[in-house]
Amino acid sequence: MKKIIFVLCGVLVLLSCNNQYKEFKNQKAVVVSTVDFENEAVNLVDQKIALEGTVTHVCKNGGKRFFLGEENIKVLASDKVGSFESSLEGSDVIVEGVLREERVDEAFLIEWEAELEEAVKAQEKEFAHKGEFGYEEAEVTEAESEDPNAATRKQIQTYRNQLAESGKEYLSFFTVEALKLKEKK
Amino acid sequence: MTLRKLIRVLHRDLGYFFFGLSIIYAVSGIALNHLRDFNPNYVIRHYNLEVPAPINADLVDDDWVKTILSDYDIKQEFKKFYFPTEDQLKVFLKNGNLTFKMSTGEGLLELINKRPIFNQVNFLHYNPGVWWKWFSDIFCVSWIIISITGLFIIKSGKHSIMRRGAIWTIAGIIVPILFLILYR
Repeated sequence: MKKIIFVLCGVLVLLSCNNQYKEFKNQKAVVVSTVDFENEAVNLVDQKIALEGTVTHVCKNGGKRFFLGEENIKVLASDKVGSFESSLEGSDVIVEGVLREERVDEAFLIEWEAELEEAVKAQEKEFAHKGEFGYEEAEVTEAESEDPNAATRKQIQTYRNQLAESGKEYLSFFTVEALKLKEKK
Repeated sequence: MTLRKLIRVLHRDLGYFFFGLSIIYAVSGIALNHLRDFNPNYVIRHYNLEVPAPINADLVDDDWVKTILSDYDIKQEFKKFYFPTEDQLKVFLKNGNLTFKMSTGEGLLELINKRPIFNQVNFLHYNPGVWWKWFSDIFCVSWIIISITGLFIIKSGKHSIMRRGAIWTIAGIIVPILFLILYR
């Protein structure tokens, strides 16, 4: 038994040395205001940033994400900060994390539509994360709601319209992978 | 040490060590299986209320909110408020929130409390950090070892893997294969 425990501990120590956020350990976080986030984010992708604001919503299924400030900046849990308590809602926090960009282009939308054809996968996606890249869900009319995938189809069309209006090749959605979280009391 | 003794020692000691974690993952697994039926992490209750409308945003301050909370006997501690949209006022409380539609005065009080036991086991099941992730990987590997060694615990006789045990083992493998065939 002692040998088993010893081996287990040794393996645990060796494995814990593998840290996907190693490169950010000594990097100083760039302080960004939530008000300027949308404008500055494009220049700070894959960098360590610090944001301060009020938590407006915490996902109550697993606590793996929360939204910060009136700008609803999405902050995700990571290996460093595993989950967020619901009691954080309404609290002022300082979060340090890595800024990531998710690009939605026409190819992405076509692939998403193809996935919708598989009914079971579509229903699971719709249930788990409606409006994945935005805070607001697409609203559907009563007639549309007979189609269980109506909300997702509408969301895809909304992105397609936004893409056309922007004149760009892709839409950018920014999220922050939390490395450190401090609640201001 | 003979192979038979090693099988017995591994099965016994890993079984003892990971007893607690097995219960944790089993309980949270049941909860996650029924995610659509109930929220395993929180007990969430909703109550409707109504205040005089329309709510004037210029008049809303901490005192206004505290008066509303007092009038409606809402005992949760007030944290802060903000306006998510032009027609919405959201008040953050300790263990809940209160959202008003400003044009009509309709309010929805949401009270959120941790569901005992399930909240804690789910917290662990969702991997709260790097160390836990690797520890739970070791647990999974150990469970493979426990399962394989379990096949050979009974050395011989009608309950061993060579007789009745083989039937039960094959039946247990056929069930998930059938599900894959039927539902895939």
